[in-house]
Amino acid sequence: MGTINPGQLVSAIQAAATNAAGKDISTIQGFARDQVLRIEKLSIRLAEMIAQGEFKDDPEGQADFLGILQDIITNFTKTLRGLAVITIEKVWNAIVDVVWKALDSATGLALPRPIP
Amino acid sequence: MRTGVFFSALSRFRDSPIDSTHSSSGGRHRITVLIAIVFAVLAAGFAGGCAVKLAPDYDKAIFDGLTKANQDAMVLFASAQSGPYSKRAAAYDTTIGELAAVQVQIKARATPTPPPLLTGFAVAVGDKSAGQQISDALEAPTAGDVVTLIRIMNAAKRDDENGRLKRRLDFHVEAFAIQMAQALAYEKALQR
Repeated sequence: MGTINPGQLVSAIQAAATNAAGKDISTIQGFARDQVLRIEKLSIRLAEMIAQGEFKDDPEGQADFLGILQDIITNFTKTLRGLAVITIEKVWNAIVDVVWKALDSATGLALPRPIP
Repeated sequence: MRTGVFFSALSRFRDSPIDSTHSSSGGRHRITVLIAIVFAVLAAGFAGGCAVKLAPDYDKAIFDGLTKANQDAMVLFASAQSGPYSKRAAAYDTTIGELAAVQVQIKARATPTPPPLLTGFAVAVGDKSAGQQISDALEAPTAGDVVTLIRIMNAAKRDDENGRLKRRLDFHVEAFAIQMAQALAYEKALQR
């Protein structure tokens, strides 16, 4: 029957959390940066179209384009939130897995495992 | 059931030595393991005894459906600079139909229920709207993405029909590409 070393357990938890979150965070940062730049360019393009009178005889079209831009920005924030939720899920489960393995090792028992 | 198994294990632990090979430090080990078990109980309580699932499972059919609609839309936009609208009318309908089919698959996909920790927190703080806000926060964004993709295709179709597409094509193409990138980024992230 083994034991649990608190220092080792903390290190293992930190490593599991870092491993689970590290790649995701850099991916999310890259995605967000790319999206912000593209949305900025799209906004500038729409402003130019409006300024040049593209929608002078098509007010419904202008409202639709503005609505599409608004949708894209709203969906961007929801996508960021969704990606963050997935990362939180990975971190949470990685930590629980480390703790359960430590418990199994310390007690010599197969304690109820988290269901994947 | 899970609680029963756990407490059974706990009583076995109580009746057995923790570390017989290190009897001089047995007390310290016993305390250490007890602390670990308390932590495990807390974790089990938080997780409801299960691995937390905050987002739906990856669905290859949805990812493939989005990819196909993306390809078809880009082919359609590439052909929009030449020839009359009548030659492209069917292609618009096909792409919009593909996106609508993906929307049906997204709506049919099971959404995980919020974990007890979050719902319990909402109850504890006494904020009825908190529960709804948590459910909203856990909702996959792809359904909204597809609604906007269909909106962009309909706007492009209308502009093409009215002879305005050539002047507005760059906006439609980039709007579609940005929105599709959001949808694909989330769906790909579900492949965990």
